[in-house]
Amino acid sequence: MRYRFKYNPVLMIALIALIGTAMMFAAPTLAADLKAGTVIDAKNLDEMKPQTFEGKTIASMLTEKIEWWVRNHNLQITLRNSEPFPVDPRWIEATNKYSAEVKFDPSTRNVTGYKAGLAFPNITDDDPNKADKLIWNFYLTGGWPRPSFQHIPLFRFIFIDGKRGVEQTQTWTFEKIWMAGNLTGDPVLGDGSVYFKQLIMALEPFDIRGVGSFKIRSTDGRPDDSWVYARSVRRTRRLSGGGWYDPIGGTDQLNDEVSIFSAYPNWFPAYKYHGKRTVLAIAHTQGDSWDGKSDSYPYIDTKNPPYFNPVDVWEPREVFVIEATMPDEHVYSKRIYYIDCEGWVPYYSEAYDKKGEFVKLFLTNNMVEPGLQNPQDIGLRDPAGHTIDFKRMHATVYVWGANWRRNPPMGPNDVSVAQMEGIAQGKFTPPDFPDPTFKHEPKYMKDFNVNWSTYKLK
Amino acid sequence: MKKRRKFFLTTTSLLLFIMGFSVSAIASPFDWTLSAMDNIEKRTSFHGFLQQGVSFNTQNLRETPQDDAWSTQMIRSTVYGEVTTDLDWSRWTVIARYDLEYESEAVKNIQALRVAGGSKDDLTKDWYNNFDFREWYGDFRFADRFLLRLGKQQVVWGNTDFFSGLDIIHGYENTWRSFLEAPNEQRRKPLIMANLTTDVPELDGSLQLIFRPGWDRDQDIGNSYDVFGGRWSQQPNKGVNFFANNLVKYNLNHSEGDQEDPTYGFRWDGRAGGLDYSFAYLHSFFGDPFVNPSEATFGALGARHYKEEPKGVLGDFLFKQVDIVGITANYYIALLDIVARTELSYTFDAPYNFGSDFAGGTLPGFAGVKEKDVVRMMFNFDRNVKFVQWLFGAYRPGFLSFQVFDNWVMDYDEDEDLVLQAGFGRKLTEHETVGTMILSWNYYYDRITPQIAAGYDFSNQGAFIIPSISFTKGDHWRLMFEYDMFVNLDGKKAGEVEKSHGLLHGFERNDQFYVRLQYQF
Repeated sequence: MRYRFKYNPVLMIALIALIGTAMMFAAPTLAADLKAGTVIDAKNLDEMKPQTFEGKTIASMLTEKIEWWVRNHNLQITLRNSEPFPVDPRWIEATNKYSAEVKFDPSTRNVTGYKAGLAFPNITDDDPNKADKLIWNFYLTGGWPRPSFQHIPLFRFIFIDGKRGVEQTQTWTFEKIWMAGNLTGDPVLGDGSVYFKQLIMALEPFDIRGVGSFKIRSTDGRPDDSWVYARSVRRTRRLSGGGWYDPIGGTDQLNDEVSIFSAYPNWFPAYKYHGKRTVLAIAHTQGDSWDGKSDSYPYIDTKNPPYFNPVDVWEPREVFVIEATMPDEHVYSKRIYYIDCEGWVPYYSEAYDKKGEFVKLFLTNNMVEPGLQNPQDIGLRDPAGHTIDFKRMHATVYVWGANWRRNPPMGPNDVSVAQMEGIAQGKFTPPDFPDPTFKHEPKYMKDFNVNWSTYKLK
Repeated sequence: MKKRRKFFLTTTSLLLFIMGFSVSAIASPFDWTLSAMDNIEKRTSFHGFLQQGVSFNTQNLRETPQDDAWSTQMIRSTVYGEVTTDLDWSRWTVIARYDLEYESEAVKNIQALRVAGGSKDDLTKDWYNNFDFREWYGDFRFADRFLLRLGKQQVVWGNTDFFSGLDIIHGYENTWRSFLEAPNEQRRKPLIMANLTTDVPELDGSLQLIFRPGWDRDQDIGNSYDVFGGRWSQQPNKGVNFFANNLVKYNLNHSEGDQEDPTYGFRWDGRAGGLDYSFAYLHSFFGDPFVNPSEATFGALGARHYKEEPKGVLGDFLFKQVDIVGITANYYIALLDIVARTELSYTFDAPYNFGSDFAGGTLPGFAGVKEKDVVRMMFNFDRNVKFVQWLFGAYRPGFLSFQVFDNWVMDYDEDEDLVLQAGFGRKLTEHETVGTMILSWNYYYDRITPQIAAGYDFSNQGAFIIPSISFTKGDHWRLMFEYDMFVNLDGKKAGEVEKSHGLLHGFERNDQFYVRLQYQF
């Protein structure tokens, strides 16, 4: 028996309306992605969450704390299409050449044999030490690769009260040399016992002008060797190394969270890997954070409460999520890090106090950083970062002046106690380097036949 | 004087020429001048502060007939400026300070005593008000490792707080606020020197050579103490001006302490095996003055002058040039989380006055001068301390520093009857030992910083305790409150013949409350 469908106009209209209504509710799978430039804020957050951007829902790309920040503290997220990071081919070559020599000792959780490149390119899902090894990869490579020398003649700490606004600023100069990981010449400088040397010098305000700090990080996990020069007494004093988890001066940052993570990896008793996910992060910040002179910071909203929110563009980035347990004497119980799977830069971290309550969020604004060595010299840096204590509603934001340089022609002798004293005493200032005369020729991972299992971790 | 004027004129002309030289060739002199000025302005930074300090006596001074308790002791305004011009191949710095006081109640009362005693000068106008180009120098860098600083400057050696072992390149100005002004760079007296530092990274160290040609003013040499009867004269000498009526003079032309004779030294400073160390040799002025007694006045009582007859009726204050060798070391002890520091210096032929009973005990130390080798030792440890967090609610760990300082007279013989200070009967003992302590901590992101500094004289008893609290507001405003307390002291009384007036006893009844407001730029 054949059934005949009798045409009924009213029924047809009702059916079309029903299908259309169903399509509206099924929009996430059927409607177009949000456009780059879309702004997500507290007012439209619930509407945006089910929407997609580059095929993933906004809800899935907001961590719990970033969403909370948007909802409760006026954070605005402007979407940007993601873009791969260029890679220095020398880094890939160094990884292939040296990674087999790198050894992880599960009993000490220390690493030996590192020279340059990615330390552990072939971590597998069944590796019981994968969380530790991922952190070591970040520690030894973050900045993709690490520059050999980071030269920041001017950077500023901005102290911000979440209710009242900018309280104070301090201007500093910063020099850091990594003694391992070099992609030109010998990969390791010196005898291999030093990982980095760092010099930081206060320029303003007047009462801290000339205060300098010099630090040496060893490769065996011992406490840092630190010195401070106090201009008011014109003397250099040695500092104890036991304060690695204490606040830096009057800032919201601890010594172990410079650029989010600056502890020696095995100072934290344990790491736990929580897998990969895609999050919205500031991977290509809009521009230079500070002109080096004015009190104007184009990418920080210092005009509206809470006065410390970044004004920047966020793109989907795949990250490793790693939880770190803090030692008993630390002020926190744990931290959670979100580390870019491709570029090994940390986008943010969350800190929890001893009661397990969320305290602080540290976020970096990142960008591609061309270097001065040659057209291939390229990596990533964080020319701005926000350390926000949400319990106290207070933040310390750092911004770099516009004349920072990656890999200028400087060396180990430019970062020393004598240099610290010379700069602090006003005998000379760190040099300025012009823009490179050559054009950078960015390459990407897809241009190389890289088949490392670390990039395939779940 | 002529030599100095010629030097200043030559240097100033050269400076102006050099500053303009960095400009590329310009057609007309007018354009060249404008361009040079524009160039200099862009390369020049200016920093400094405006400061107002007020102190109040909290005790009644013995010397004045008025009740000085809670009277103003010091009302001092300061303008300090530092100008630096960076010419890439050199840097040029000028630092100036202008101090202006309003005559406080205590100073007014003390001045009245001075006038009654024959002084013709005025404390405020002649001793406390001052304008000075404190430092002016050029810095030159060669071949990345040589740093040369030429001009009037400060060079600090040694590791010791409050006292001087190796830190005797410069004297200190102790007249307007004694030793209490905390940033001691404001009290240190800069000197005209050539200062060459050579970085030797191959040995993880640096070598420093200094040479003072002897072009300074007399007043820039040695430690200055209040011996003119001012507010910081030791009890019972407030109102007693030893410079009045030519009683005592400073003599900076003595054969053993001629300020026109060069002083010089070298220091090696390095790091090895986790140890920071230095060793140094210095030919410089012994920091504290000593009395060269007048044989013309006291010869009949057995006094002997020191090599030359002084110009003052009673004697001269001299600063002897001595040779010193010394070492410093500091080491981080991870097990205890402390930084241990030490300093050891050996001074050859340091001058000391003798004769504690001279003139019936009325002028102790005026019998003459003996020279003794002296070892000065300092032991210290620094530590970050967490107890301030749970005890005081501090924002982060505080800083604690303990120090013991000892002055050890070599080949000590009690029969030599050396005195601790000329004018006071206390004998110098073989060891003069003082302990000090500093504890500081912070609140509210270092905007509020309390501190306690204290010292105890083990050899003479007597102590000082200095609690203070500092506030920071924004980039510019700084406010400090401080209380200076001197305890367990039994200082010399007027006309007293005593044997007990120790190092700190002259501060008896000098307790004070101090407020300092500063605007920085």
